[in-house]
Amino acid sequence: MVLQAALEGYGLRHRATVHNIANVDTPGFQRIDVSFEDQLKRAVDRMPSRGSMFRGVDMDHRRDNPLNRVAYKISLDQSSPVRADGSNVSIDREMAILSQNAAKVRDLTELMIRNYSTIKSAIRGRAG
Amino acid sequence: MVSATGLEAQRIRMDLIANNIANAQTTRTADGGPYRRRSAVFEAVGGTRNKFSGILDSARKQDVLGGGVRVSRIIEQAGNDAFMQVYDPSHPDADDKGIVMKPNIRIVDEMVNLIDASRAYEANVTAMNQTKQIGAKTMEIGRI
Repeated sequence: MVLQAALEGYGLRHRATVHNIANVDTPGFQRIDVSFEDQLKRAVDRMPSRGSMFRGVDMDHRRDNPLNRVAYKISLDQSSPVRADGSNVSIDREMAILSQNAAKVRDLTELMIRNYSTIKSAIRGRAG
Repeated sequence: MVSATGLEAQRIRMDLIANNIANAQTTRTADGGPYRRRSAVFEAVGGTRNKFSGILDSARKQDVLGGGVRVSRIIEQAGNDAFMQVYDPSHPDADDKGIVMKPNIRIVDEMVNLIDASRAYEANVTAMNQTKQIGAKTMEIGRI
């Protein structure tokens, strides 16, 4: 499901950011970047039943699910400005990414919980 | 745990700074001569180091992300040129011209580094707490 694919990406970005923060004082360190949003969006666009609120739900068990082909790109950041000691980590930026990313993970997890709660309610035939 | 490596490295750095400050006036050591300033050299653990290994590693997500930081070595001030020379003939470690060699430790520098290390430590604590919160939230999926 799309939520799961997104959580995978944000989870990787969290780990990369934590690594960058740990290396804030390492001379010559290049920060690690995780990018996947564009790819994820393209995978979602490739899914059938466009426009339906159930888009992608019927794809979960299929081998040709476009979500299986989302490549989470982990790369060295070559473009950020480099400090005097050769490192390109900015602690302010990493902390901002960290909290923004963690908030996304929390929200997506919450959506996932609600999703499963809904299914549970449907199975039991009553709310709660 | 990646944040823990950051905490450990920064703590080692803070310990060395504390040691430097404590020994700012030490003119006699077991090795002979004044105390030599020590500092930690940090090194990233794992992670993509360059473009080529980056391509190689992209097949193995685990390695590319990196495992934090470690203190690769602790360096000591080399040579005797950096010592501060103070004229104090009454000092027991003064040479025949009355010059005492003192460690080249500037308290202001050490304090600045100490604050830097403690801020970096805090950043790692924050990162660790976020990791904990994400983990706890993820466990809620199983409680439905």
